[in-house]
Parts: sequence; C-alpha cells; structure tokens
Amino acid sequence: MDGGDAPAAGGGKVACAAWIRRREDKSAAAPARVFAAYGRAGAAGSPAALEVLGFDAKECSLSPSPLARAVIGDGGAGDAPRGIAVHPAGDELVCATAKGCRLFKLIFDEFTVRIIPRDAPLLESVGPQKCLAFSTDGAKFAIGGEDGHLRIFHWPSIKVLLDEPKAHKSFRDMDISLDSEFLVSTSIDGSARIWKIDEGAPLVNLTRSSDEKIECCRFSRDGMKPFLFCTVAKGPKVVTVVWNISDWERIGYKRLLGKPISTLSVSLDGKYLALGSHDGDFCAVDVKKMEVSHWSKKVHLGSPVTSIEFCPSERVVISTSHQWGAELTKLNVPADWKEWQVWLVLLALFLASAVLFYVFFERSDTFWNFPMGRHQPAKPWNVLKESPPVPEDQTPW
Amino acid sequence: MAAGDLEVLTALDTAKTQWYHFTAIVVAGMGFFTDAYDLFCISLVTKLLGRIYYTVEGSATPGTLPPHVSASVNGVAFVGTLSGQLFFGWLGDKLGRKKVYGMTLMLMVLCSVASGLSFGHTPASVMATLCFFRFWLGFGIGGDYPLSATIMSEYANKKTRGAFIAAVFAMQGFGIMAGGLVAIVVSASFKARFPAPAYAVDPAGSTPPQADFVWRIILMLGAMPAALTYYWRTKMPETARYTALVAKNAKQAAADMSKVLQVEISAGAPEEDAAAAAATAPAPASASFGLFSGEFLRRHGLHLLGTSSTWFLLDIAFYSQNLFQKDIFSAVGWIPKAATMNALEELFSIARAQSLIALCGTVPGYWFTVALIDVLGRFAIQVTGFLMMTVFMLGLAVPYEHWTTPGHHIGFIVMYGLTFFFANFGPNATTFIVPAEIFPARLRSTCHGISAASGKLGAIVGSFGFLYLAQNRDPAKTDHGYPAGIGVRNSLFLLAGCNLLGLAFTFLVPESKGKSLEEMSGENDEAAAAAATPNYNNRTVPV
Repeated sequence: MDGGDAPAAGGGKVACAAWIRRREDKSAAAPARVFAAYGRAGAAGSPAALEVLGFDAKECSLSPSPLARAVIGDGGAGDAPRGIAVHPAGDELVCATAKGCRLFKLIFDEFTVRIIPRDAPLLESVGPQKCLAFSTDGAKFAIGGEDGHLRIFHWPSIKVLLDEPKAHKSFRDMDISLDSEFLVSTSIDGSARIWKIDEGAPLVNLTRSSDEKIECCRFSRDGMKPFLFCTVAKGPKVVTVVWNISDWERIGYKRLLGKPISTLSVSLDGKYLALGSHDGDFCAVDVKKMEVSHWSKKVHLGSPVTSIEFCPSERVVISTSHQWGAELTKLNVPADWKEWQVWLVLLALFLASAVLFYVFFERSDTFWNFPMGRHQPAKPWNVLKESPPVPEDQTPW
Repeated sequence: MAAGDLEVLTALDTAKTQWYHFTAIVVAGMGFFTDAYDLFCISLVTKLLGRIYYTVEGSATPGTLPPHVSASVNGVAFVGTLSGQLFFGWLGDKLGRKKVYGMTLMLMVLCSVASGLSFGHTPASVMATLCFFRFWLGFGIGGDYPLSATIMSEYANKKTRGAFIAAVFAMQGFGIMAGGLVAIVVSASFKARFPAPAYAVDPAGSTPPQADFVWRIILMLGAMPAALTYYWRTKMPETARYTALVAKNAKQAAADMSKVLQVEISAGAPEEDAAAAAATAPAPASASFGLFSGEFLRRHGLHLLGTSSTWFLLDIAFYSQNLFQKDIFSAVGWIPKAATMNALEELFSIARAQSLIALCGTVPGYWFTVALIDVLGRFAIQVTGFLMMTVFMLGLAVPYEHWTTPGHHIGFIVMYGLTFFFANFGPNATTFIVPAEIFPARLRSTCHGISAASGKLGAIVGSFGFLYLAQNRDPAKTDHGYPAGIGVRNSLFLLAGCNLLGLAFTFLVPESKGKSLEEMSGENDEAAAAAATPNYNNRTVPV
C-alpha cells in the first residue's frame, strides 16, 4: 500500500480522493486512461490544493509526485476540500469546500495534465456540501448540503432542475441511479427519500421502523440487478438492506461487516460493494453472493473511513480518512476474465474444431459411401449416357 | 424502407433526438439483419456450388451437390448457432454482455470473409472448409442474437418501445431480402460481363470460370453488416439502463437476490412492516417448486409441452421452406429447367424468386403481427397462422399436377407467398413471444430456452430432412447421389401435417393477452413490447 502523504510532495493531508477515467474521443476502442485526483487540505506554508496523479495499472500504484496541481480558491482556511466528484467523461471535476463548490477543467495531453479553474457562480455560492454526485450519463449533477439543501443541476449547462432548501435536516449520503431516473438521499436523522429527477419532486420515503436509521445508500450499477443498497443501523447493530427499485420494497438484509459502518461504495461494473467502518476497517462484498470477499483491517487505524473509491479498470480502491489521508489498496478478490483469455479459449475451440473437421473430412468418403453404394447399381454409366428425352410433365430430378 | 422509417420516426416522441433514435434503431436491428442475411444466403448459392464442383460428365442435367454435402452446407450453421448460444451465454455472465458483443461481431466478420475464401484443390475440401467456417459463423450468430435483444431493450424507452421493437424486428425481413438483392445484382453483373450458353447447348461452357467468384462474393458480403454493426456500436454513447426493468425481469432478479439475503419477518412490526411481511410470506411458498417438480408439472407441464412442440413443428416447416424454396420453384416450373439455363441465369432466377416471396410474404407478416398482436391476441394469431399454413399447403399439394402445367405459375406463387405471410403473421411470432409470458419469473428464461432449443431442433430436422424427402420417387430421376424420396407433392403433404399438428398443440398454450407480466397494470403497448423483449432469447429468426 502506497501512502498518499509522500513528504516530497509537501502540503497537507489528503482529505478526499476520486478516480478519473479518461475516454479518448479519437479512438473509442483504445483503453481508457486512469488517473487519481486528490484534494489536499491546507497546511502551514501551503494552501489547499487539488492534484492529479498518474496510475500505473501493472504495479497498481500512483505516481509519487502529482502530474498537475492547482490551488483551491484563495488559499484561505475556508477552501479546505471536503469532497470531489469527477464527471464520467473525465474532463471536469467539482470540489466541495466550506464556502461552496469549485469547478475545474481537466486537460490531458499526450504527456501532461493541466487543471484549470472555471467560474461557476451557481456552484460557488452554495455553502458547505456533504454529498456530490454525477449521474452515470454525465447529464445530471446533484449536491446535498450540510444545511439539508438539495440541488440538482443539468450538466454541462448547470441549469437548476431541482432546488429543495429543506430536503433533510442534514445530508448523510446521496446517490443517483444508473439510468439517471432516481436520486436517493439520507439524512442524519435516519430517514431516506427517493426523488424523481426529471420531475424534480420526491417520490417515496423508504419505509423503516422507529428504531432504524438508514445511513449510507448506493444504487446498484449492474443493469440486471435493479436494487438499492443501504446500511441500516438498529441500535448498535448495522445491516445492509437491499431494496427493489421497482416497487421500493425491501428484498432482504444481511450483516456483512459486523461493525458500525461509516461509508458505502459500489464498483463501476456493479459487482462489488465496499463498506468502511468507524474504526478504520473496510471490506469488499461480492454482490452476487452478498458475501465478504476482501477485508482490510486497520487501514485507517482508529479513524472512520470517510470514502472508498473503486478504480475503473482494476480491483483497486482508494480509501480516505481525516486522520490518515488516502490509502491505495489492491483488493484480494478473484481476478476477472481478461479479454485476451476469452480470445484464447475461442482460438482453442477453433483449432479443436478444425482438427475434428479435418478428421471427418479424411474419413468422409468411407462414411458417406455406404448409402451411395446401395443405390449405385441404379445408375450405371451407360444408362445416363443414353437417357431418353424427358417428357415435359416429368420433373428432370 | 423510407416509408417504414418515416412511420417509425413519427412514432418516436422526442423530435430533438430523432436522428439519434433512428441511429439506435439501425444499430439495434443490424444484429438481426446480419443474422438473417448470413443464415439464409447460403440457400441461394447451393445450386451454383453444385454446378461448379460436382458436374457429372455427359449427364443430361447440371451438377448438384451430393446429399451429404448439401445437408452439411445448409445445416452446419444451425449447429454452430446452438453451440454459440451456450458458450456466449456462459461467457456473458462472466464478462458482462457488452464486452462479449464485440467478440461475437468480430467472429461473424472474420468467418463471413473466410467462408468466401474456402480453399482446397478438390470439391470435398472446398466444401469441408466452407462448412467449417459456416459453423463458426453460426457460432458467432448464436452469441450475437441474444445480445442484440439485450442491446435493443436497453435503447427502447417506455413511450416508444412498441414502435422501436417493431422496427428492430423488421430488420430480419430486410436481412433476408438483402441476401436476395445481393445475389440478383452479383449474378446479373457477372452474367452481362461473362456471357455463357445454356447447359443443354454447351454443358461445359454453361458454367464460366468466373462463376466461382459469385458465390464467394455473396457470402463475404455478409461481413459488411456485421462490421458496420461493430463500428456503429462503438460510436453509440453508453446508455445506462436497468435492463432487468426494461426486460421485465426485475422479479427474477429480486428472487435471486433474496436467496443470498435474510428475509426479515417481524411479528410485532408496525402496520407497514406487517404488510411487507405479509407480502413476502407467500413468496417462499410459490418459490418452492423447481423445474423438475410435481408442482411445475401440474401447473405448467402442458404449457411447456405446448410451447416447445409448436415451436418445433413450426421450424420444421419454416426452415425447410426457407432453405429449399428454389427446389419447389423448379419443380412447378416457375424457375425454368436447370438444363435450359447457364449457371448465372439459374442463380439470378432463384434470387429473384426468393426475394419476391420475402417482399410479399415474409416482411408484411412481421408488420401485421406487431400491429395486431394485442388486438387479436396471441392464441388467435397462432391458430389462424397454423390453420392458414395448413390450408395453403394443402392447396398446393392436392392439385399439384395442376400447378405444374404451364400458365398456372401465378396462382402457385400467390399461394406459396401466403404460406410465408401466415408463418410470420402467425406462429413464427407467437411461439417466440408466448414462452416469455406464461411461465413464472424464476423459470421463465429456462422454459423459454427449452422451447427455443426445441425450435432449433426443428430447424435442423427441417433443413436436413426435407432435402431427402423432396427427391423424386423414381430413383432414375433423383439428383445424382440421392436415394429416392417421396417427391415434392408428398413432402408438402407432410409439412401440412406438421402445421396441423402445431395447430392441435396450440390449444395447450393459454392466452396471455391483456395479462401483465408482473401483475402490474400497464399500457397495451408496454405489455406487447415487454412481451417481445425477454432477456434470454435463443431464436435466430423470430418476428
């Protein structure tokens, strides 16, 4: 595990992190390049800053020094980063601070990366935000404030789709569904609500008993699993509950981590969940079986894990906490099939069938001669030569 | 095609994205288009292959493919389709379907081109390599087909799903027609460029050496729609959808998820929780029976028998007719006797005849079904289709001698085209839709797979069986190498019997019109569209 707090880089502790998947428009078939974005808090002698680091997929490590760096705001104490949301196209990101949200343009050249601040007056005046989320198609952006104010913007025009000042007492967590139709938000008082994004209105409150607190929430990212995952605290016990988004009914629950949960995350392909605990552990859960397949203990010793981000291309996550900054962890889960492995299987099948076809071809004369041999006397050569004219009402064959 | 496009485009509700939706239709439907082209273009060129590679010196009739070669060339792609479905279905679960999609299309492109490059110095080796690459082409098609259905369901939105799916399904008919059109153009071009005498005039000269290029070009052009599909697919934006919702498989997904979770049943819960517990309580009871249980047999055994047998019997008739149209046309004289034409003229006549049947029978049948399936209901359409197919086939078979006399070709063509019309405005559509509707969610994909596999088996029986049966009863008059058969007339009687049997088995299948999949109230269009897009789909040529 490589620490993000390399002394050479200087600056404060990493407060928030996110992955950037860069899709090259010129060649859609080329693999996407992956980078990491760090939001670094201010420290003595250095202002709060945003950094982009390169990711080495083979070694599963981040570059020791940032490829690009930008100061957040004026460098005052109010500009400490709290959260980062990266647009799915990988060309923009929004960083939340105590004053509001800052918009940054990311420009990737062949060998260099640049971070350019952009003016976004609507975002900069929203005050402290606890949750940021882009929709999967990149057309929606939602923020949930510390004051419980919910805003949904159309992207990239940043036009307001929903502006609800009293959505919650204060936001706990938030997510947008895979098809950009619903937004789920939870409050610090344990309530959870589903919003219809296009209509800009609440749809339903998730049902819960009086002693239950719905905390973290994430929509499934597997198209064949239309579910909503939430962590629900019932006294000291915390379970993961699955809702069906067809009718917003509970399907079931399971106790996975066995500890109070501070954060929940889902991988981009929807196959894994990640749960972070208040004492610094986190685990990865196989969604298909709802079983823990990876458990990292004391990654953030004694400090709640504040975020876990799945790498787009590898089974690697970045987890953050206030006390320890960012940690990169390679998940100990079964390796996915690589595309070249499938082509290899296909090639093996191809060659095997080629051998079978050849063997059959070589022996086909013996095999097929049996039925022909039986009828051969019916068509001696000389009869064909001397066949009489065929009457018109008879078919030649 | 332009009129159809305009009709579909006006049905789409968002004018701003009209071009986007049109592109989505083409991309989603191109998979079906490619499947239909590749699977059926082989029937156009088998006569030509016989002339080129299996000429018998001194024979009064041109060469024809030996029975084992003809059966293999026609049927090997279906064996590949079955294998490909199993392999890529398993692979799709491993990798995710989007990744597999590119592989199937690439396989189709490569094997289409390779089919045209079949090599060897003897006729047997050319045919063996052709069969080899046709097998792998079918393998790719088997993988492509269910994935095309998935892609299609992902791009369909709620308001325009019915029109969208209709347009996508119509691409299959266009694929069949494209095969005929390509054959017409290529054979006419080569005929004009390389004139040749009729076989009766000059047996050796009636097949010019350039004819070898004709069948290769026709097969290799099947790579073009597959390549275009691949190109367009990468250009399309990623549209994230809960495909389980679109394909109405949410209940199945929830059932699978509930197996790995604890389902809470709290006795002293508040009203809402009590209602939720009551709602979940019946679930264990209904989820208890599996496919091989007495409960399933009691409830759905006859239904499964009905859906499987009707699909099987339909495909015997449907595939044998599709693959051996040219033999029937020759038998009744619509296509002149082989000896009176050169090789390219024969190909031209066959392609023209098959295209006309597709244009007037197959394609309109698709559209009629889409328009009327929720008006008449699946049962009525299937009964009417099987009945009409039986009637028209008997109409062809009983006065068979009458049709073969000069001057009666038009009547025969009309009757034959109507058989195809009622196949598609009939069981070819409903046998695909009904298995996706009448079985419980947990077992739906399995039952649909069983029914589809029965259909595939019927296709194999049809493609291999008809070839032998349609031979003349007089051994001296059969094609070279064939044993005596029962003749075209009796073969038509047999196919009519299959249709009649399918009509009888239809009564085992309940009517599902107006009944929603998940007991949800919904629009009629939504119900029809939902019915038409099951996630698991094994057919190669459904509606």
